[in-house]
Amino acid sequence: MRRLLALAAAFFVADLVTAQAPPPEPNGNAAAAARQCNICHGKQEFKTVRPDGSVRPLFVDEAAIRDSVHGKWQCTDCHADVDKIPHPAPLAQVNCQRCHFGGNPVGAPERINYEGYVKSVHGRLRLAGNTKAPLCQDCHGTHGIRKHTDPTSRVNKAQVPSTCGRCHVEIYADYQRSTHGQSLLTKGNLDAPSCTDCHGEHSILAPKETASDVSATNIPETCSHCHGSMAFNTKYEIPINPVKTFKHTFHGIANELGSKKVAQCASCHTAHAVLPAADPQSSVNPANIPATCGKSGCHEGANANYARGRFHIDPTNRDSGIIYWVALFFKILTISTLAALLVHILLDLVKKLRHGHAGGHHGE
Amino acid sequence: MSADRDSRRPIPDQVRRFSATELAQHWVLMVTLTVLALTGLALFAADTWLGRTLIAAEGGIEARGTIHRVAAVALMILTGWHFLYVVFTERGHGQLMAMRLRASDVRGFGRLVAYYLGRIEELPEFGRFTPLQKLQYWGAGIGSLMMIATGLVLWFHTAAMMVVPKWVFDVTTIVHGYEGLILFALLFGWHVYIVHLSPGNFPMQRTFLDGKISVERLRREHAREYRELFEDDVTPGGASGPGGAE
Repeated sequence: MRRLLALAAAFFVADLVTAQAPPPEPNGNAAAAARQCNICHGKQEFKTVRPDGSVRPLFVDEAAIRDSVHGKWQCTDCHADVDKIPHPAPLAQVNCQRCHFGGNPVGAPERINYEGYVKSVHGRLRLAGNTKAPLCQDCHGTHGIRKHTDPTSRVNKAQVPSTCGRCHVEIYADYQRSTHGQSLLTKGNLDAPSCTDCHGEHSILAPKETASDVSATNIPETCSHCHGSMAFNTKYEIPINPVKTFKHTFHGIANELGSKKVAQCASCHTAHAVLPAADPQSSVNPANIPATCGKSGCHEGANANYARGRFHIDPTNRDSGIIYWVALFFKILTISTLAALLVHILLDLVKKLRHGHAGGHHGE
Repeated sequence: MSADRDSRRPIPDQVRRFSATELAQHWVLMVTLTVLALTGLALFAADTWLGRTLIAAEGGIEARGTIHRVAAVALMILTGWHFLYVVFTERGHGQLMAMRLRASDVRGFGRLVAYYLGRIEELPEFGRFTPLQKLQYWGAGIGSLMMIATGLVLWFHTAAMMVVPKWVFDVTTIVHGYEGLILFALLFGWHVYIVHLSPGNFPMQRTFLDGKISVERLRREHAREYRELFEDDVTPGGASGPGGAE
């Protein structure tokens, strides 16, 4: 354990801050070099037993490497601690920063957000010694890394949910049955959000952290990336702007001013199991409204009255029914009252200024 | 100033118009409505710079709500006090009776309009309360009662929604907002113009401080009350006069 910790610390701290080790030179004879490793790792049945008794397969599919973005490199370019065969087991964790750093001479993509990762919930947990928290290879893969634009890549938009779902099992299940998950995974609609569209990628923070894209106070902004546009909403048969109407409610105003207690998008629609209100499974289906509004800490004891009315009301829209008419009545009443008061003030001013003000205080 | 008068009594410079109790009620109303208006407007205009400035000045959205509710409780206590005053005290009841809206107020209002438009030369003769003063009193009174009623629904929304459906709550929210705005314009715009800002009164009339009105103003703006006090055959000393009880 201590050794792992030391490795992790060395991986992050030393390599982030200090100069990088010289990256490997491309070797045209990678295939030939791999043949030596294949003596053992080319065998399907090559396995070892971990200290906890579980079996670890050690077979490496060379074809997957050759197909990957790293196809031209040889095994020891990444597994740099192998200097003899057979090598001592286990090898050190592969360090991606051997190549992926700003100004690297081998042309490895540099736009990699290590700083964001180190500050992310994943990076912080890993640095603190939690080996369940993901490193680069846990999401991007090991030998078969492909570009995110490749539909078979583990970090392709449509593949991200299953990649994250390897750890976040229950959230993945909720997401799969949500309208977002169904659209992306079943219908292949790339308008629908994948995990990273809301949570970010390398710099993911926990929702309870204020700076997180999915914190209580940032959720409306995050959802507005899609639902703030009426062109988008209309395309998906959402008749009003849900973000704009939310911002005019007491919830929305308090949320905007930093209150974490009031309801935001995810409080009612859930974070991952978002479904249209017409769906009986939806948290905002009229039958489920009492339970949703009545969550502990919110409107405990909420009854069916909470579902008797509209949500996301735009008082300036005729479709809002009685709300529209009452608001219109009061707007007219307010404007005519103001006009009447103003007319009286003007008449009074003109009269008094033109004719003197009949005494006033100038005798006193 | 009394050359045109034929009276055996000396006419004072000022008469007492409002009692200490009435001035105290006015002070409580003025302070609570100011606080309620500033904290309410903060929420009504929360998406503008004005609202944001007010909310920041009031210590944030939650402090704003607390201040608003404390002032609301003060307003409700004042309402109870005023109700008891106008129902159970002789002086208060007399004032309420004088404040009744009558057919003569409609005529008086018509003549006031005619005066403003230059059709008649002289300001119409009014009694203790002019039609415009009655409008201010009843506007503020009924407005405050509506604000209290709708405000209680919003404050105790969980209890209220045991009984009323969501759309009633939504309507209540709208009524409370606009009604507050109208009340704000009525009192902080119109009323303040009439009593303080209009030519002759500017920059300030002192009646709300000492309860007194100059006899000259009384004669001009409340001619009938003036006559009842000083010209008609009314017992001097003022026990039955509106300015009598203190």
